[in-house]
Amino acid sequence: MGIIELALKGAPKILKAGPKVLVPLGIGAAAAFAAAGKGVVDLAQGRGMRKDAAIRLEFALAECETVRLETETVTRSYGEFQITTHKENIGRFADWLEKNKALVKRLNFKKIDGVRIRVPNIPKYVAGAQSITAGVSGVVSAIGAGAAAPAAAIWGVSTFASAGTGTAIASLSGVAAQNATLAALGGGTLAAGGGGMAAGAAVLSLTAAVPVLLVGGFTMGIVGAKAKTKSRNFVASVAIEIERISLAQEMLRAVQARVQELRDLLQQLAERSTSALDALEQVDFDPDQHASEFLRAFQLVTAAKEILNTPVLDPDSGELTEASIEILRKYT
Amino acid sequence: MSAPKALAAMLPKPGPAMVVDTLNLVIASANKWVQVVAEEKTRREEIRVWEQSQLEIIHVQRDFLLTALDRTFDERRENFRRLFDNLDSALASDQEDAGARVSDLLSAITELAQTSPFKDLKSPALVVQEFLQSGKVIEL
Repeated sequence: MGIIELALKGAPKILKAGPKVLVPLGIGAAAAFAAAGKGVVDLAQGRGMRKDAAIRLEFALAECETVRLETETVTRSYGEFQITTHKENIGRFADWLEKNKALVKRLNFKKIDGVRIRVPNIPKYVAGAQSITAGVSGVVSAIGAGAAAPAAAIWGVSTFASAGTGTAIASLSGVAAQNATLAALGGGTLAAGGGGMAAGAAVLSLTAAVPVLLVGGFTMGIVGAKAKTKSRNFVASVAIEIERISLAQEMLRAVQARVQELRDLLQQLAERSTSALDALEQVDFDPDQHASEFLRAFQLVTAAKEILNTPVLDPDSGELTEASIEILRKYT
Repeated sequence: MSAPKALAAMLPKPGPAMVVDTLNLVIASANKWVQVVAEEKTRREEIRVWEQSQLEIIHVQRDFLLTALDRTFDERRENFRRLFDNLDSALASDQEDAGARVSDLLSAITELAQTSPFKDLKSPALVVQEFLQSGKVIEL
């Protein structure tokens, strides 16, 4: 016969104790059950809150990743447009220069339409135009910006986004660690209960089970309350991260707007440059007669080249990154 | 000796001291429960306030940045439009200084393009200013 059976065997004797004993015991047991019940409810609520928060975070990170990929597509498309424009304007002008270099040299330092012409070093210009990377550093910069565009990191989402969803998962495993802590705490509870059990077994009566229940119930209540707070803290942290992720998305959209701005400018200059090159190529070039046509084409091609060399984001100054981090450092 | 009797013999007999200890344990547990529940409730309220203030700050930053970026891009778009209109006039002009005007306008266009639209966002003071003007209060 075990302790429990022994205790159950002794149970009917408790009834003989009368209401003076049974009423306090009943109240005590009810209080213990209430405290334990509250603890269990808190634990369940906390678990649910964390689960919902984790889902919201994953959703926000997925959305941010979509915008990041969009930005990369926009930037890559601009890079392709840059290469085409480079070929159709700078490359085309370089070809023309090479064919007419002897005649063009005669224009060097002449003043035409109020502008002193400085003919570039033609072999160098041609060589530069042939090499897209050497000739147009902006192409590389633009694509680089696309690759560097995970502006999730820009807006202090680094805690989550620096390693993408992996870090988020790491945070979640932090919660798992919390659970482990809680589990450990729960073990403590059991240990305390264990002590109670020993006391219960010592008196070999169900009367002793009431203090055991009380201690266990209160401990369960404590565990539940603490778990609920930790869950609330996690939910709050996630809510803040989600807002930051949303802010990062806005910054990525701003990067897209900047790319679009440069693309529009390049297109406008390329259209005018193409017209000027058409006009230049249509004439049988004579430096005395067609200096104005040369000047127009040279000016517009040079301006288009400037735009091609303009990076989307300046990787040296770090502009957006610096501004964003500064703001976050100060206020969060 | 039967098994139950042997078991009962192994267990200590409950005395007054044990009853007092048990009572103390129960009272201590109850006190602890009441105390922890109250503390955790306060802590949750603190977390709620902290969360609210952090969200408020981020909202202010977002409002400021989006407004600033919208204005910056609008202003730049308008400036580029005006510069290109003038450029087209200069390109079509027969005047003696047409080339110089074209040169100036192209310089203005490329300079504006090279100026980052994000450069004005560097000052966090502007965020504060914007925030103060909004009349909102951050609870810290």
